[in-house]
Amino acid sequence: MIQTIYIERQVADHPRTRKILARFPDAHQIDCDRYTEIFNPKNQNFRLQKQQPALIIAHKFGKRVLSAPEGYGVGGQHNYYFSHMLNCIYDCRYCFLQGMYRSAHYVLFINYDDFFESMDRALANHPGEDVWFFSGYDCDSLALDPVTGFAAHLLTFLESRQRAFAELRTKSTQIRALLSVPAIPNAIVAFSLTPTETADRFEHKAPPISKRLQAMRQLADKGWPLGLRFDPLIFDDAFKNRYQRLFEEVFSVLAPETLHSVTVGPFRMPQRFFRNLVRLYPSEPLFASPFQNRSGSVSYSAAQEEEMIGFCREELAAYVPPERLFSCSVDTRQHWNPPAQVPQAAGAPTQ
Amino acid sequence: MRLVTALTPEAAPLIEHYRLEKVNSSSMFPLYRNDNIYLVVSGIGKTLAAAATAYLHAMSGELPNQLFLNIGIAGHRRAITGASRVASRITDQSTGQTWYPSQIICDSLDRSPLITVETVERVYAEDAAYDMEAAGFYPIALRASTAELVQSLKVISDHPGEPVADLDLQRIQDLIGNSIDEIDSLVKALQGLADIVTSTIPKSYSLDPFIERWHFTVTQRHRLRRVLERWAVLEKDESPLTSVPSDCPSARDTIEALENALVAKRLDLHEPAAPNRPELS
Repeated sequence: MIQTIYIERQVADHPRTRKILARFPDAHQIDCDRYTEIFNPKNQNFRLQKQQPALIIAHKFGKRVLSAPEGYGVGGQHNYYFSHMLNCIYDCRYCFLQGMYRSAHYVLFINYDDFFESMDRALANHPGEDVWFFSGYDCDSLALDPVTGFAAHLLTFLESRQRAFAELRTKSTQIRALLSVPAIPNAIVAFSLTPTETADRFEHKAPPISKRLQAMRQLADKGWPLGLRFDPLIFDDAFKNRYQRLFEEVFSVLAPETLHSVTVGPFRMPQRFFRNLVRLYPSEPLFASPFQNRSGSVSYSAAQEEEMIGFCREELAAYVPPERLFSCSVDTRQHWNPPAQVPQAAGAPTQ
Repeated sequence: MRLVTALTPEAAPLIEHYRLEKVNSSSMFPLYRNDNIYLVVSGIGKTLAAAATAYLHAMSGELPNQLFLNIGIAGHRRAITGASRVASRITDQSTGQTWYPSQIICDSLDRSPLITVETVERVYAEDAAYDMEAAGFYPIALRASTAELVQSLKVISDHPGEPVADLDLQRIQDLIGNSIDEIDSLVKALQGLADIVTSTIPKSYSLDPFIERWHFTVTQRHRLRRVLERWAVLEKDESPLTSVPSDCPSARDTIEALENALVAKRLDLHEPAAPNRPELS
């Protein structure tokens, strides 16, 4: 799978590095000073690199935990995100990473402890209050977990910090690290889901929806709190039919009581990223959809978004209590639940 | 494809294999070509390699996303004469500047760090190949193309036990000639990548019928281009002109008519997509 591994010289002797290299004995190893020498140069083609991404093993300097954008969250007041890894092994055609990064190579920052130290500092900044940490912004939280082993470390960290809540956003079925330990209430495994036809069409290399639901069921049976992330919502003429069937399929497998939160969000992306996507895939019909430029983002029209979110709200209300439903759009930040009604940790509920 | 070699004996097997003919008008550097392939002989050293690469790009039409391949001999610390190595890292020894050529099609090829030196290498201090051109070729080729289409392949010609002084022109020609299969394999793999890149060139209806009838500002032309690109993707079989009333009063109204027509049309994003990429060999 991984045929080239770049290694920053300063982490060459790190035990984690050696463990990872042992997994790929046939990979060609190339040492470098900093991952940015490979990851940052201009004139790279993300689409071509997706043919055979390399792994870059690096040390993360500087800020490791960042404040989440205003309004981002699922019920918490204090929201942060972190990226122990950049880029994803899946190749979802709608993914903003293609627009954001020049390189498709996977960068793994192996100084996990430094990330946890940063999380502890964030916790110390909000004494006595719950703090949320979102994983899965720059990568899939679990897809490469058999290689990185990050989830096990994160769970150990969370186990002794009840005020720290983490969302692991994923499309993966790599859930061994979670199945092998008792569930904890402050780690929410949130699965991104689209209708089966949409996943087949756009989510290359990702597990099919049915497999993700199986994984969710296994987690639910062990008591792990789950999240459903219907994001991005992708519109075409069969939108209502497809999402109706998706919701039916999901709730034929999962009991609503096992869900921590459900979010919906129509396709949206910063204009700059979207332009890069169109440049990479100019013949992709999705990118020729009737999007609009709104508030610096490319998205459906406000009316279209309202219709899509409204439809999903109505359908999901049959399964999930409203206090567990959240939504996000580009400039309305509409949410179904004023903060006062949100259970547990009150706060702005949208992504 | 654009090939850069330093020496005529390095070029000769490539000229024969790809049936290239000399471009008589070339004066700065010897230039050869066929319908699709250009080859320039730069002379020794990174300065000439850089100049020749830029010259090659200019003389071959400055087309984007072309393959650029630097082929030549190199020394190595190990006694692997005749082996070919694709550069996994190129370092300019005199400046320390380093580049990392893309490795995405190199898994079946042997690779080596490559150090570009100012004078013929006799010490071979590092476990790397040593040449005199790659650090001149690579940054210039990178300006002309996309990183994944630029590579440097060296055939090992000398090592501490077999010094470069023992090389003659025929030996150099034989070393490259004996590596034609590996070179061709690399070329084919790179061509597979290039085919993907050329498939990303957007198809669009011509703006001419529109700009002949209405006056478009620069901004409006951008909008028109974009809506015509979208039209070409979504409505392959229907001309966009059919959705614009003949009495449409202005460029703005024309663009709006086109955009509204697309919104009104059937949208099925789930038809089977064209294959994302051809199989790489």
